[in-house]
Amino acid sequence: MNHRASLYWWIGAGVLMLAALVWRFAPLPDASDRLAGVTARPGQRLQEMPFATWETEYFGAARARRWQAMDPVSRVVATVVDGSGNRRAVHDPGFCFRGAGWTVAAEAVLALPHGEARRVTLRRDAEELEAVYWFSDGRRAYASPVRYWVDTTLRRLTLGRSGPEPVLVLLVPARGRTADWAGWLRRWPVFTEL
Amino acid sequence: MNPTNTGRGLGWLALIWCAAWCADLVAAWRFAPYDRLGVVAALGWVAALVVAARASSRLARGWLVAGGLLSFVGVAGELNVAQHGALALMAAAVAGGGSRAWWLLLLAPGWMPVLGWALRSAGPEVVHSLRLLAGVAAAGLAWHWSRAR
Repeated sequence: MNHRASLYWWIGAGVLMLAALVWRFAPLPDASDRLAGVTARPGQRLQEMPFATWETEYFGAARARRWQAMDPVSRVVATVVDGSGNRRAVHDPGFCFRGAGWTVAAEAVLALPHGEARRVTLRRDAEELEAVYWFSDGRRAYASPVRYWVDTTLRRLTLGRSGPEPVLVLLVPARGRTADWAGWLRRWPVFTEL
Repeated sequence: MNPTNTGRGLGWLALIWCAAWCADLVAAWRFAPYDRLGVVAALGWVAALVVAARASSRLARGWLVAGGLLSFVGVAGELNVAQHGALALMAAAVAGGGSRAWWLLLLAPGWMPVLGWALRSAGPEVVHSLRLLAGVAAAGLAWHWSRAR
């Protein structure tokens, strides 16, 4: 490599690193408006729940809210995470369950107005639990974490022009191991519209 | 300035840049159930990288460019797997390309969290075994390459 060519390589590397930093730290709109718009209908109640200290540290700059969603039929704990400020805070829920010692005994697709969610049946020793999760940008809902990674990466590479930030919505029953998920999703459109 | 040294200096700078953006790996190796023993794979892999890099007098620019582009995607797009992949590609560049670069690329997933995610259905024990195997294999290559210099 001669001197001039070497110089060009160094300049190119410097430009690429600088561009990466500019892109990385460019401010993008987050989904805080969507999280703030979660309200209960008449006859329903939303009780906001605090996060544990380790959860708050884990989320970092990501925004997250958790509620106990109560109506005459059910109680469900709903967690919504907006990874705009820290995308690493949003992991594949299926992977996280396994990491926490759960086995995924069954999976099924649940239809949503704008796409689909995934219902998983989890087992750990004598415990069994169902959970439902999906990613949504307000226009499309899907359960694929790969699609989430592609969408969020593309959003950052296009400086937000590819669309809104998808948020993760995770539901678990507050009592018992299961809930009438299809009925719950119909009664709580505020979550399916996120 | 010796152009060859300048080229290799660029390779090492790029490698350090990529490694800095992979700092999340330390927490993953410590706390993530599927990523334990990733540090073993990383130690063996780094040993192999050091031996390969010291034995090489050239910078493989094809791998450098590929690593640079993937690093941009990883840093700008906030995508961990791209950042980890970029580190592996930069190592291939610094190792001078050739068969040693391919070995480094082959064994790099041993320390990457994406290996645990890809094999999540197999259970953590299988993933741990593969990580250990990758670390031992890399350490073996480091020893073999050091004797072949």
